[in-house]
Amino acid sequence: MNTTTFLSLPASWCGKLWRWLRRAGPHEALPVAECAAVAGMRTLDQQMFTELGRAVGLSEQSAMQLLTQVGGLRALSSRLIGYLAEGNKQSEAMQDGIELNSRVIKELAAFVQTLPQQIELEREQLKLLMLEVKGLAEMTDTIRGIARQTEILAINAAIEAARAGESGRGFAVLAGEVRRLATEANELAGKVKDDIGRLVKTVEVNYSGEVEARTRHNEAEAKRLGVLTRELDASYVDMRQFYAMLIRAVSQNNTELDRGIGLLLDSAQYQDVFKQIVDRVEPAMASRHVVLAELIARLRGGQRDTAELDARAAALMPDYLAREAEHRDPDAAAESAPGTPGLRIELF
Amino acid sequence: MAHILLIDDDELLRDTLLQMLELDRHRVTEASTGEQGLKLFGSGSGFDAVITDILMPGIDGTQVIFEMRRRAPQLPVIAMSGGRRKLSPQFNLETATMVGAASQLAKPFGLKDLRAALNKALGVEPVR
Repeated sequence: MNTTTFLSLPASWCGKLWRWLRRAGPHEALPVAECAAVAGMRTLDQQMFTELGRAVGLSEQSAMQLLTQVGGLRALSSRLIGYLAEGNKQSEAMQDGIELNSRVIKELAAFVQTLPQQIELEREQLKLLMLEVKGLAEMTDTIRGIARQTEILAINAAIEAARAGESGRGFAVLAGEVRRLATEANELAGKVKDDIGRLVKTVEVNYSGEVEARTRHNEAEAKRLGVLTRELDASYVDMRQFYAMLIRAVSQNNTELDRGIGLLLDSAQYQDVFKQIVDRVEPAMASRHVVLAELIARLRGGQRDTAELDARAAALMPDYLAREAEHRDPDAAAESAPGTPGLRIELF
Repeated sequence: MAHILLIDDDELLRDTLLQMLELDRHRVTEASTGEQGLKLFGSGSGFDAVITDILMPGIDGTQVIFEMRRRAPQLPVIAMSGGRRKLSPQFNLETATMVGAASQLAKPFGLKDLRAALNKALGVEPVR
């Protein structure tokens, strides 16, 4: 007899057994009131029905709890999907900023790369200018020397002039020398003039419109890149904040998901308790079947003395309850029945 | 009447919100940064609700909400944001909800929106 067949037996089982026995053979039947063994089995049946009913009730309650938990997990999961979709939109919007950043960095690098060349060019031009100025300074020294000598000669000429007449020849030599120096000074002065002219030209070239334009361009470029660099910094701050917020939100959601899954697993493990209750019915059923088979055999054999079987049948229910008690947890008393041991969770 | 902790780095907005809240006879404690807000918040026992901006220098609003929810899970926090450059208010407020904000306010908003958000938040956890 399997559990399903057993469960389908009606409450007036003893009476049916009596009628069945009457149909089954010519044996003298026992009156229902004397069927103590059957009464013992009925007590066991009622107790098993109670336990199975309790298991079904708990299972139903647990299934509802599982459904609620799965619903909660689904809501969390849906919320995460929705949020990540919003995060994706946000990320796409920030993509423009990333592209801008890339362009700014390239432009900045190109601008910085041209700077050493420009500095070298300007340094060379400055060196040339310094050489010109140095040459001019040397010429100025020469002119000064000539001027000094001319001055001395002029003084000497004045002295000699005072002796006019007597030493006219000496004066003539001095005058000639003065003239020569004057000529030399004149030539040098011309050269200085030319050099100054070249110097002015060099300066003009160095600081010409082209140089000025280049400088202005560089200034404007530096200003523009300065603005872009600030934007780059702001964009970086936004991106950092975006990812920090995204990670914080996803972590929070995952923590809740993890907690929910943990509770779900606990509930799933609790489901095994119901299986254990049902499983424990099976040995009780087997013992009951043995007693029943013996009872039927004796009745068929015409034996009226069933006292030993009555005692065994009466012990079926206490034995079953004793085994059930081994699987109760005194600390897990239900709120609805204080003091009554609750279910002990035995994990699979 | 509720005791509300208001956190925003924008002083002008803070003043405006203060006037709005006081109009409804709420008691308001102000903070200009997330750090100051968390310090004033403590364990949260002195407040009925928190209104916080999201984009602030230093500790941002989502971090403030996250920490407050850890300290006082039942206390309602209202998030407000106007976005910044590419950071949209929608994303900021969605993030705030993900970390535990009870209701949202997209800037700019008016007294009616503020009342609705506050009522919703206080409705979740009644005023003590």
